[in-house]
Amino acid sequence: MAVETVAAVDRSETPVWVRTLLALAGTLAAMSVLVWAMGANPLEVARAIVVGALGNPFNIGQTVVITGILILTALAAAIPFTARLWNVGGEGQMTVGAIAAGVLGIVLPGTWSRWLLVPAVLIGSMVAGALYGAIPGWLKARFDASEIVTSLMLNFVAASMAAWVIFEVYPEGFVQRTKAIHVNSELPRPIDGSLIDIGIIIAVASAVIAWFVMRHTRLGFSIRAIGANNPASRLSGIRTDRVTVLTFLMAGAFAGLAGALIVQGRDHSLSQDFSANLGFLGIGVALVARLHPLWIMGSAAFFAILRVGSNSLQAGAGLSPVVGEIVIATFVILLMVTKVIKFRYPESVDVH
Amino acid sequence: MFTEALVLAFFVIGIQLMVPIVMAALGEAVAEKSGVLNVGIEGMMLIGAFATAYMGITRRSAGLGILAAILAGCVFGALLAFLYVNRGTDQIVTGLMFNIFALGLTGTLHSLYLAGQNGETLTGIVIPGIGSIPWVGEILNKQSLMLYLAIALAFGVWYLLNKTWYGLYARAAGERPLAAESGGLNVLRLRYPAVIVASALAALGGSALVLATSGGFVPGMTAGRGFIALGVVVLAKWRPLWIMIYALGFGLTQGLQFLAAQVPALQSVPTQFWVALPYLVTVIAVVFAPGSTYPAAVGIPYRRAGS
Amino acid sequence: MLLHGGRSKMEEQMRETKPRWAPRWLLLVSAIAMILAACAGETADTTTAATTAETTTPSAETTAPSAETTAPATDTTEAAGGEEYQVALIYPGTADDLSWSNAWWDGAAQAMEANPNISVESVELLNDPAAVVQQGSAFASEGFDLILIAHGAMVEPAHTIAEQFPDVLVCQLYNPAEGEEWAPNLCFFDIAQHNANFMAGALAAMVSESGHIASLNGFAFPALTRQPEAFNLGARCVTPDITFTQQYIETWTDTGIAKSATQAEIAGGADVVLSATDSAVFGILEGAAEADGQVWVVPSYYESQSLDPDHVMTSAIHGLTFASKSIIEAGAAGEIGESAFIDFDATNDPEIDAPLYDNIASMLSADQVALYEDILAKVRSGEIAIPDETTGDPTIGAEGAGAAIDPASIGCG
Repeated sequence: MAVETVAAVDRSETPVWVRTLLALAGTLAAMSVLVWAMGANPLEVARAIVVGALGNPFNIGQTVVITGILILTALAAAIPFTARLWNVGGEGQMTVGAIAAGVLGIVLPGTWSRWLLVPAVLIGSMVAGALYGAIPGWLKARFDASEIVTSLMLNFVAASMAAWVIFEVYPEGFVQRTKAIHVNSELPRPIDGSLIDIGIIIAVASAVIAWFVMRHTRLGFSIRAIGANNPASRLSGIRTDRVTVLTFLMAGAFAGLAGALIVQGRDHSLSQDFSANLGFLGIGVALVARLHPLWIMGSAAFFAILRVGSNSLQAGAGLSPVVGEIVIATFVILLMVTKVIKFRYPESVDVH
Repeated sequence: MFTEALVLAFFVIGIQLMVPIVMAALGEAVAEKSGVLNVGIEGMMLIGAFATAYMGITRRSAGLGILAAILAGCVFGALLAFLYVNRGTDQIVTGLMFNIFALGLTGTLHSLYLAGQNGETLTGIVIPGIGSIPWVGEILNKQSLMLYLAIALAFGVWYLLNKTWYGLYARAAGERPLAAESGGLNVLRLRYPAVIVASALAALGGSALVLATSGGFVPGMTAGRGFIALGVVVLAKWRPLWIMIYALGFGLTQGLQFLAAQVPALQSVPTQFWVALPYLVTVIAVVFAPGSTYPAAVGIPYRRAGS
Repeated sequence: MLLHGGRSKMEEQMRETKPRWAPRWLLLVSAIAMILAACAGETADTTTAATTAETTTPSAETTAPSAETTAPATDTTEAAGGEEYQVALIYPGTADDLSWSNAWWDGAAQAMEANPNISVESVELLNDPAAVVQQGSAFASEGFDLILIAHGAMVEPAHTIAEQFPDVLVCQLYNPAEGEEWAPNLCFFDIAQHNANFMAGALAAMVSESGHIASLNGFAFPALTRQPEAFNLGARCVTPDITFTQQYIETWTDTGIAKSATQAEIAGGADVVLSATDSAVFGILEGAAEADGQVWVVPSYYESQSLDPDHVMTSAIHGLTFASKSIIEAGAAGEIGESAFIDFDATNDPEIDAPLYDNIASMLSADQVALYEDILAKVRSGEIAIPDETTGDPTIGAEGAGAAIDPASIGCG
């Protein structure tokens, strides 16, 4: 018999938002020290990041595009994490989705209308990502194989597959990417002069769908129940195996969609090093949002600002963008230290 | 085709590739046995690698480099232990974030202090006697101190986990922390040193990587070896001696890539297949390795009753 | 049975109340730290990447003597009105990594020395197209005049930046196809890097004692593939039946993999190894150093003899420094036209070379030295016409071309 240790009542008396601010303050403090040690002005750094992400329509467009991608990779992490299934293969699932998008974008006839081609490629990427994500899920359900190890290893396998497609199957010639996808399979860019494409709409819609599934469907309930307490949920009739596989299928689909957004929306081809760790970053986004699909949108925007903005650090303040990565990691860790992000665990582990 | 030189080179390469993974995996075994799943191995290896490269370049000493790596591992290990054990943060997330943090930190420090330079390396040690054994001797002659250190550590970790009181108590903390506590053990105090040991060993693995290649640090040079160590630990069912064997298997599988390039019949197989192969093999092995379930309490932060 | 120092119930409760202290304490410390840091930060100079270059003190053994690696401090937060020509140089490595990126930076440094009005910012470690777009546009919006991208995979980002900032000159490494069009403020340039590899190959054929040379390559795309293929072709110019093997090691930077690949090649019989990667070359050098016999390495892009004089046979100097300096100076002088394409090869880039070091020359006979110098002269004059990756069948950019093309047909022997 297992009892939840962390009850709904917070043990600490300070409310969540205060602790979030604390974590933020702590991060800023630590970063200020680091930045100052590197010979730059922390306030300049902050200004550079904000301007770099939001200072002009072009930059805002960049930020919006990255936000969309992060929302999807965060969903790919958040849904399994809710069931305490540690999907760390989001990066690989995104890659497989991107491969599918790149290949379909080249192989499907370019003469099809945009209305047909764009959704076809998107759906293809979702399916590819879902199937790839289902592998660790199925291995876990069937063989109880650690999903951490399997999904992690599959990231590397996906990277190799991408390299093969880029260099052997559809090489472009001079550059380290595939041939361009057909124009009609590119995501439309509704706003003139900006790089924003409809990918953000797809991402937001996905978040809403995910929220709906988690909140209002039996599947969502099962996922949350499993996350709270595995043995009891099996007793109550939830088919853990099936839910596990479905969870990973969903996660893979979202990650695959993220890959499609990159290929169809941003790069218009499958290029090497396209992912820039956005898959792993999605895990951070999901955690900061406490695995809640709607909050993920805000969290993704925050991380996107940091990520895009830190690319202006050098122009604006003379620092390497790597500093931005440290900020992100520190912030998430501090959020956990201040218990803003926490997980529920059954107290007793003597029951197997 | 398969000349003697080529086969020998294959084993030399395989053993070289396995050393960093063995060290990291040994440390991880200690941590996981005590109930902490440390996914931050990759980051810790980078930190160890950087420390070694720094010492190698500024002080031209490999020995200092190794010591620096161990020290850095202990320091950051203490930080991780604080997060995992004291604050009870989620272990997987903390580990992943630590990887990102370490990648950024070492990258920044590298461009500030070390860019473009190479330090000391450890070349092969010729052991008199063993060196004259045909084939085995030739392979071993190419291996540096780090291989023997790794082997010694494997025995050391085995002894620690199986023959000492600490090992006994730590394993109890990993399997049934509640029972351990009611039996009078302090689970938190047992896990703390386990994480530090794990970090020191992972850092040592990073050190071995630097000392075997060029003595220099390249940002992100661990290239996933820390994650591979996670897989190896599971495959070996946390037994130190088996860790060596599985790591060797992985190293050899990685080495197939280079063997294949020399064999004309295999030229048409795309390189990417060989690169992916070790990871695929790990997945398959993890699936079919029977009884590879984690210690029961792994991954779950331990909280005192009533707290 | 209390084996541990038992905690009383009261202590447990006190632990419970700790969280109330911790947040306030943390808040106070954070606030103090921030104030201190902000105050201190304002008195520190806002520095540029030049600081990065200055704080590294390369030790004498590892700095190549002929290259300049220190950059003068530049302050990019001031957009000096009109006079100053500001360049952002974007590449995958660092300004002092002794490889591809270093060579580009040296050209920029030379341009700065010769022209006080030119200032160049080193934008390092960029391998992600999105980051290139963001960084490039950040500099463009700060008023920079030229965005020079020394990274072959960034064609799409170059287009994007050029379209977004029509007043800024964007130059990208790329060999455009027939009939392709691009924005007026976008310039493409190509460097026939493989000309240097050809030269190195000719030398390798003379130096190799086993008659087996090898190449370790990063990734298989024509701009890269032409390098090992030209190496092979150059060797066949001297020794038509030379044995040539190669591996694509699928990395630019993993020294461990590079070393292992080198060991495999050596075991297969090679005694000269070309490095067609990037900083992974250090692994190749290590593999050569640990070999039982004498093995030579040919690093690319940068003058590298000082890295290991006993194992560096020659350096394939691709003329990047000259190209870098030329492009920057041409841009500053307003000489780059609309939708320009600048082509560098051995006939117009004097830096393209595979130098004959003294210790190597002393190993060769006088005839061989003369032959080598003759080959170099012919490549530079065009008498030996090394194809580029857009002509011929198979093109030099296709795998196996080096073995398929007849050396006599290009002017050898």
